[in-house]
Amino acid sequence: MNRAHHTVRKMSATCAISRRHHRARTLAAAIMSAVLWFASEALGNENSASGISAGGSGAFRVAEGRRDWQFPRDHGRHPDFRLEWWYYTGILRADDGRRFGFQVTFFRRGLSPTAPRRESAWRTWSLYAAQAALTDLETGRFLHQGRLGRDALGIAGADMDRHRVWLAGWRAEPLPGEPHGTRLTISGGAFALDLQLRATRPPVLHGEKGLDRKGAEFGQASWYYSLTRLATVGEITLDGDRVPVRGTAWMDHEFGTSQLGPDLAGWDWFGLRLDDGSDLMLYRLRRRDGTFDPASGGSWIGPSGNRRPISLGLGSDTVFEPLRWWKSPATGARYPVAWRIVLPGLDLELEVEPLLDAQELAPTPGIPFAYWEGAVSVRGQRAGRPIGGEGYLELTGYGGELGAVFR
Amino acid sequence: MPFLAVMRGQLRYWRSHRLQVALVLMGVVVGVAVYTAIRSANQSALDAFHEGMGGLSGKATHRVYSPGGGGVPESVFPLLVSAKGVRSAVPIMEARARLAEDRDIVVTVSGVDLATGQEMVAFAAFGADAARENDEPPLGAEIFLRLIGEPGTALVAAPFAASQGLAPGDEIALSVAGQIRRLTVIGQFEPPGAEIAGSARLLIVDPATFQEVFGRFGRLDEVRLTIESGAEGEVRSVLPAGLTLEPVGSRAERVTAMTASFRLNLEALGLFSLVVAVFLIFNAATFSVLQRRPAMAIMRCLGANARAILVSVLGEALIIGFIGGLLGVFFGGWLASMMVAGTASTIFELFLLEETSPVEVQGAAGSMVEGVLLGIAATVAGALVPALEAARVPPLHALRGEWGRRRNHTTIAIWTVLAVVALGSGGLLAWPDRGSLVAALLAAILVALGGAMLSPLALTAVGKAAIPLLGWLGGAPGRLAGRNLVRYLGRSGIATASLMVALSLWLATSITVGSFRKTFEVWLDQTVSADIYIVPLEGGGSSFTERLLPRLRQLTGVRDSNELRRRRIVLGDRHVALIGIDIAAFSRNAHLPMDVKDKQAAYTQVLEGAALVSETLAYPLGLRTGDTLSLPVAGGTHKLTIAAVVQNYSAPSGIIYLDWETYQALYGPEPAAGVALWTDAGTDRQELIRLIEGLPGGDQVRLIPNAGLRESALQLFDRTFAITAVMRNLAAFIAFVAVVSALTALLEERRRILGYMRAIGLSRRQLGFSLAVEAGLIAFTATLLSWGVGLAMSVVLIFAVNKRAFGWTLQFHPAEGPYLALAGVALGAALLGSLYPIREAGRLSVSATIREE
Repeated sequence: MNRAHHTVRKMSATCAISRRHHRARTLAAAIMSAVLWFASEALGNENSASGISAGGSGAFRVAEGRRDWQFPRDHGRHPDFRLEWWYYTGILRADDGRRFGFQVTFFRRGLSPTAPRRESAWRTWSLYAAQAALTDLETGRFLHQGRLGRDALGIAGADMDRHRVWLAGWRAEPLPGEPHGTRLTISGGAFALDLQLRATRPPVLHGEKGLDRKGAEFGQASWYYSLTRLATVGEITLDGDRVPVRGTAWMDHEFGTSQLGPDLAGWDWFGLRLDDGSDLMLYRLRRRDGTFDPASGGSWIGPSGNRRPISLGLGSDTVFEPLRWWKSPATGARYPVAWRIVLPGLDLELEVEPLLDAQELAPTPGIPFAYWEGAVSVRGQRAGRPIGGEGYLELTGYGGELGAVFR
Repeated sequence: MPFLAVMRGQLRYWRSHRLQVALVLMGVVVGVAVYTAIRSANQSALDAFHEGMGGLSGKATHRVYSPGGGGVPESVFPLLVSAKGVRSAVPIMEARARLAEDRDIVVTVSGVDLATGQEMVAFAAFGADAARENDEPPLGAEIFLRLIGEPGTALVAAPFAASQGLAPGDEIALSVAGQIRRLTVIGQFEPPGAEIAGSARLLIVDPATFQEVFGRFGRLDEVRLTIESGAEGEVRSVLPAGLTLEPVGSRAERVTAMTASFRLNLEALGLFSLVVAVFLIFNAATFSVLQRRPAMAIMRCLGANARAILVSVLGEALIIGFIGGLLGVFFGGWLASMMVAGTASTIFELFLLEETSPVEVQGAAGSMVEGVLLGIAATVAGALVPALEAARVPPLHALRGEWGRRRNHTTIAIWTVLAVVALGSGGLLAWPDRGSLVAALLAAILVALGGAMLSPLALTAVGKAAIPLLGWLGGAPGRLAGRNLVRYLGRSGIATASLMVALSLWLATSITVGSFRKTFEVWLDQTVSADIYIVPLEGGGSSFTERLLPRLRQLTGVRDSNELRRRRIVLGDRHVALIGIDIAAFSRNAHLPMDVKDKQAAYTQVLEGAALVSETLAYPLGLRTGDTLSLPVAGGTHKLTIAAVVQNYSAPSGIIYLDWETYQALYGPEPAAGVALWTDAGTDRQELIRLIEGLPGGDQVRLIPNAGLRESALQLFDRTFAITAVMRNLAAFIAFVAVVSALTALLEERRRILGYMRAIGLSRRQLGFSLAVEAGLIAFTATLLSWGVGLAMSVVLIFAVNKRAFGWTLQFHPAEGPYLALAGVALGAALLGSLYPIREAGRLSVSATIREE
């Protein structure tokens, strides 16, 4: 959902930074700035009062109206829209009791809504970026890596009609016989993942039948659904050892063209699985002026798959209270990693604690900004009865870059 | 007498002897300049060469390439990107094109995938306004997305953009295969090693744009990778047969190995220039101190102690050395820029089989400091010996001009024995057919030194033999000249030796280069026999092959034709040109000098699948006719027999000729790289060329008449050896300075003797005549010796140094030597050089010089 949002926001911050410190930064840094590929998205928004982004995106569709969702077709790519991402997070256990958190993300950035005339096999219309992170809770290690490539020569791409995305050897592929199942393969670097994710609940459409508003303007919205409970089995390769694991994962799939407002500074996103069988997705869009965008909200999904929308907008009596901040030694950014959340409408009160503080992703190719995304545990009560849970928390816009934005 | 007073006295000398100051300073400046010029020219050329190889993908750890040539199929790229252990990969594609508006400007266009290669691309990109100081660069992301997303967009190297006044939004029109291709500038980048002009004329485009502009679809030059340590095996497992993975350092090592001989030769040249520089400076410094010995004697009498004199002389040498060194370094930088283009392009063309990028001299701080230090050290060393003498002699003696006698009964015998030893060991070192290049270079130096050691003997012989003749010609003054020559062997011997060494170096390089050029010309005549050569323009290969070629043979007046296919392969540790030609057509029309008697049998063997190998390849690899050669081909190696070892002077890293059928069987069909046409007698070639230009596809080729090709080959040759011209001029200059300073020193030393002579009745004229004859005798002896020594050195250079460095067989053409010019320069230098001593001698006041008696 908002992640995308968030990402874009982030990028504009990074850009501003790179503008300011251009002289000081040398070669390597300047190279990075060449790859802020989401950044022009934010720029496009700034140029556009109507919400239809400018800068060559005129022909992309914006997320508005109604959509006839069909799966597994809609697990595939949607090249009519400029931005699209597939997000997988989960918490896994090995037989010996070791616990792991993982995150895998594929981003697609459309360059053009129509396929190019390919005289050269390198001519492309989309770029893909991906990130993968592993939290080893036993040793307190957080590892991550990233890749960037084009939709050409088979380097990267996604199918139109099924759940299949790949980039330079990293893959999300359909599981035979499972309309919502996925096999995730991440190789190379410090760790490898080979996981099979099977849906135990149907997809949840957020917002209005999947149209999730991110702002008041026309087009400031994205198509967004989640698979909140995916029974996961597979293998983690770490330090040369193959560790069989099982656990539960969450998948988000979102696509749009110009969803993000120009005044967005960052966001806090929660994807939580509670042990009463319900799931909670919440996001809060933070503006540069310190207020929250009224479009902030989420979904509560009951054990039977029934969804209740949550609005965090005007008149909401919800409470979001940071309990603890963690400062990244690498980037100096401070992240609110622990939270107290009160949702009176659901008679729900939760405390969210990270399973590890240091779950910050440093910039990787195509994603040139740092953010925090990590496994969390949940404790609290619902209607007077104790409740627990686990999930993932994403915090963006807390890097030092933000200062530059405000100036 | 206080030290400062001594110093003042010394400085007064400089004020009243401006000419001498100029001479000394000139010696230092020229010496330092030549040394630094040769050093920094070579260094810059080699640096540029290595820089060029690192290119834009500076952080790569490995490369994938095809040792058999022909590049890497692009379908391999996704396999590599996805392979385990590959962190980052970037395709390499590079082409050169001329600007449509200014065809003299050649730009290099590089196709770079900024997405997959992002982590390893070593340049900074920025947009429109970045060149303006204190301005915010526009979004890098926009440039990145446009470069990949929009066809025909390019980033321009900042220095090139500045020189062409290119701003974002401007168009660059390139001339590619006879057509104009336009690129839109969307930003700039700071190339790595931007100070090198060669990397400055660089455009970066997306691989898609690259292929669309140059039509080179489907293949990459190579792939650069960053891989995790220990992952080589995983990466190799995805490579199809015929491709090789190697650490990026390997190529640099290979090139270093290939250019080792070339560099060693250049370094020998640099060493030679160092010796020459020290000699020049040494002479100039000695000369200036010798002249002042009377003044120093007076100072000593006034109470200056020996140490003050010594320190003042050395201090002065320090100052002159420093100033001269600075000026020399400055002048040398300019000199280097004149030489470097030639050196660099030579290295590129000869060893990488690539076209040249212009190179500029980098002010190598190291060699500049070195130059100044050299100036100081040589000046101080030159001043030290006479200063010690001046300080050591008791003041009274000094005042009388009693400087101690040079040992006239010089040990001629000892020098002669040493000379024989040097010449003999030089000969032994150079004799074997195989051996080290260093030994060969050492042999050349030993021959020169041995020759120099023969000087006393030769001088004595000439002097004694000439005395009767001189007596007959010039009476007492003539005889006097001969006797003086023999008596003052200490100085005259050194003068002769210096002059001789300079002259023989001149002669030896002239004969060597002349022999090489003669050999090359003869070879060109024999092998470059076609009347018209046709070469496709960049990117025009396939249309040339498909459209133009079939028609050429049907043209009236075309008697025979030969298509040429060419690729660069990697064989062991060298880049080798592999050439596929119609060997039957070739043997009908050309004569390739080879090491077998029965050429027809060799050609027949080649028709059946054997190869002809250039001696430049055979010699270093120890291959002979009949041996087996392993060629890298797709899927492994192919063994073939060497039918003959042939002479070829176009590529020192080696050439292999195959018959076209063999070539095609090994590497598949590919566009022709050129065609040679032989015409019927009486055909109007100009008319034929116009006819071909008018054919379809005729606008995408370059037509070169035989004469044109010959001419450009010889031009390349001359450019390669341009640096030897510097040596020749240098030798002539040294000859002159050697004579002047030696004669002046002689005069200073014999002031009193000459005074006596005047006193006993020798007229000024007679004295002048005597001195001139002495100079002439030195020149004559040096010339005679240098003819012999120069010839001997050239034999060593041609048959040992050259053979061991490059494997070339050269014919010895001693007639190429400028013998008479040598004598002329020697005599001219002697006469010119004696003018000043003669004038000084004429001024000798008889009473002053002998008043002590």
